[in-house]
Amino acid sequence: MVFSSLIFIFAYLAITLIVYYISPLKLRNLVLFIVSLAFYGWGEPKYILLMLISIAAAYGFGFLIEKYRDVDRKRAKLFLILSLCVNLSFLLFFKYFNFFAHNLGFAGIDNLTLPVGISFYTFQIMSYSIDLYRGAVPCAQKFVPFGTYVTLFPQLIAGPIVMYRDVYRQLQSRKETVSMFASGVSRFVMGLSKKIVLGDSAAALAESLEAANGFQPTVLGTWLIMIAYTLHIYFDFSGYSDMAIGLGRMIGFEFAENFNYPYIARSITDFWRRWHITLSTWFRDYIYIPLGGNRVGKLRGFFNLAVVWFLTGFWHGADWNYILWGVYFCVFLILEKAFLRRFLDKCKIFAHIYSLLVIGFGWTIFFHSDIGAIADSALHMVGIGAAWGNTGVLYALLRWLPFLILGIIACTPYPKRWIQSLRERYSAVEAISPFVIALLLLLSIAYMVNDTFSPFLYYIF
Amino acid sequence: MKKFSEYATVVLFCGIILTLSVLFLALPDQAFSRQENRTLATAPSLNADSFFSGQFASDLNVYIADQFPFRNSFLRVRSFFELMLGKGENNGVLYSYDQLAVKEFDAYKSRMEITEDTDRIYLDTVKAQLEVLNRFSASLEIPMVTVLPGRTIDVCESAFTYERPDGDDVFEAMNALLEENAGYIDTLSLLRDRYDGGEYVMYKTDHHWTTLGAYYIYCEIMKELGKEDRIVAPDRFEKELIADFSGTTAAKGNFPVYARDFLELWHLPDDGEYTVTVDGEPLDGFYERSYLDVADKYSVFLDGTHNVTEIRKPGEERETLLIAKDSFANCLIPFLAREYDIVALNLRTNTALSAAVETYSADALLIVYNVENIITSADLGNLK
Repeated sequence: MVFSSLIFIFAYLAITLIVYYISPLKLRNLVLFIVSLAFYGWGEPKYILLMLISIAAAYGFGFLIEKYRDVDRKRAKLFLILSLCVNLSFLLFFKYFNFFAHNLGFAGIDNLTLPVGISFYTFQIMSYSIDLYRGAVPCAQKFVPFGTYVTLFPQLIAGPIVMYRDVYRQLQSRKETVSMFASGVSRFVMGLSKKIVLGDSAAALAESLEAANGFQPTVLGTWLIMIAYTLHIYFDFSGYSDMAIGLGRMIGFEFAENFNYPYIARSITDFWRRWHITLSTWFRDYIYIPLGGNRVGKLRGFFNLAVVWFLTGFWHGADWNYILWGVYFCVFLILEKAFLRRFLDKCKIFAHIYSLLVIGFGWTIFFHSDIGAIADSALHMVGIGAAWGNTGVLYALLRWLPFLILGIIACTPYPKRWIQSLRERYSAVEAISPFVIALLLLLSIAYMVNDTFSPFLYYIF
Repeated sequence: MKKFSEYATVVLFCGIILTLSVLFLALPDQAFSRQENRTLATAPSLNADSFFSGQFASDLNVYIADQFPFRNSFLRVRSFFELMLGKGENNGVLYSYDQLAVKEFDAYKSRMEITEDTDRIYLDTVKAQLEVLNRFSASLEIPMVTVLPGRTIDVCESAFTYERPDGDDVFEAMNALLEENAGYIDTLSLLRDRYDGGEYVMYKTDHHWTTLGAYYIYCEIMKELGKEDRIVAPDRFEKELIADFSGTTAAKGNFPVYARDFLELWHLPDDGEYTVTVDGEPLDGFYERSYLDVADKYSVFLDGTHNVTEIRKPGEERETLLIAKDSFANCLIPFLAREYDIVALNLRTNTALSAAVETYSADALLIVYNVENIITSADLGNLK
């Protein structure tokens, strides 16, 4: 089930909130566990079992890890590794089997479907096992709260990747308040409209540009497609994270932030501190730092970066372009560490332009599974084998210009700052805001209802 | 104030969701949408198969959206917002002050699927169909006229800033390639001139030409068949106006504000003498007036499209005109019926025209086939 669907909002969320709030405190985790399993199983129930096995394995090995943690490091480590192996083997098999089978030439067996959210929940479970081994978190004593942690529906499918260490206290006791619920509602509705109105529009823009650019590649079209991708993935993904954080607050959870205006970054290093923060944190804490991080020799440090970014790329998808995408960022991170950083600090405007170009072209890699198409895009952008523009692209640009301007502004912190300063100056803003949220909700509903708008056109016949 | 706004947020959010949920459950399902002229989805059936295959989940989503309370209002809100964003189109329909037109995006997309090449393969398929038409016309022993109407976006080009990526390429190919025998009439230039001159030849809200537009085409066809002197002058018709017509383009675009059209039925005093049958069933004259009360008003012309539509004038010995056509011919046929006995075949289902010429002992053949159909189907290529 996706958040931006009528069935989620009007059936699932409505029922979940009612059942959750009429349940006694003691049963609330159980309620969440059950409704989250229903959320996950909706439409594709067969992979529930897989997830439950992953959870049970980490839960079971957890006791063993804790038992030997302080007395027998080696044995504790053994159980940690076993626990990780169970989880990783599912991820490897279900996500990467197709890729390896295909690339090693076993045709015909590469048709496994990917269990939804497996990349996210596997990482969450691993964070528990590793932190437990490190003594950073207590052992999960009861199965239900632990299961709830992994399956909690707001973050189950697409993050944020919530660490056990951040929420285990909230699992034991949390206080739902009107204030928190209200802020959750605002956040959810903002995320919903961000995804539906801005994200889907950017996707439609990319689609119409691709159509116009498909017949005759143009410099203008290729650049605009890159911008459309850049807007699309940000509104889509950060909208989803907003919705997740908002839903979490509605049921008393506070999740970590996942985005911090990534497109105002002044370097790629800075970008990755602002984009999908929970994933970067995960790789930093569980891969990069254990490898020695940057407190090693220069070459070894670069090697560590390369490992992390190869894995980051591969985590995003089992295909060559994702690996290329990870390695691509790694190259810029190394360049920045080596010397580029000093230049970037000196000239802010150059730093912004450089960062946006690298990020934008990154999305061109991300969205093309065909490596040849990526090379073509690069050539077309500098005018090799492409005309400057064509009427189709120009028309699309004119038509979408207001949206483009709106979208670009929406990527910056300015709207939030303006609203904040208005709020401080006029108390009426505070009173109006619930109604603005209500209107945004209604607008998003209008867009969702339109999904099945298909007048039968007895068109020519 | 902060307390108020927090409570208001929660109350509004829960209120909207609960109210709409309750209304959804309480209101009876609508079977049919006049707005969209289609049957709406009904509650999907739940069984193990449909649930585990995910079919139930997607059907349920469609069902909720189709039966959503205030569905039409929500649809309007959305298209209004899209217009406010300055996009100038909604659901693939271009909007300008008093003209709507379906963008040629659908054809575009189907081309994208045909080939990975950036070659204009669709122009090639059009050309291939024109070749078939040439070969067919060369083998035909009776006079033939070919009318290939343009889309609104072609004829009413001047109303939009949108430029068609391929311009008039298709029409230039027709002018260049179709041979003498095919009797091709360049309706695009004719109608475009009239449209730009301010004449009401294309509907604003529908993709068809108007009765006036059809009349001009009728004159051209008569000239091509050597019957210029038999053309009925426009002032001899009594014109009946049907107000408040909103066609398929408006339905698709679903804009909150747009111009309305009117339909014209042109009558002659002896119209009652013709016998009209559609697929063997008799029709009361050229116009099936029951359609004037429903969304699909254009079907008033000859009861819409049928496989075989026949018109005769009892007691008069007249030549027979065989017409292979799509819906553009429906409002054109009544004009021609005043001169010829008519046998009109739906070209999509009848492409064996030589045989039909024999069967109906036709004296002339007319083909009326819209450019959108030529691009999206290969029907003309199947002529024999």
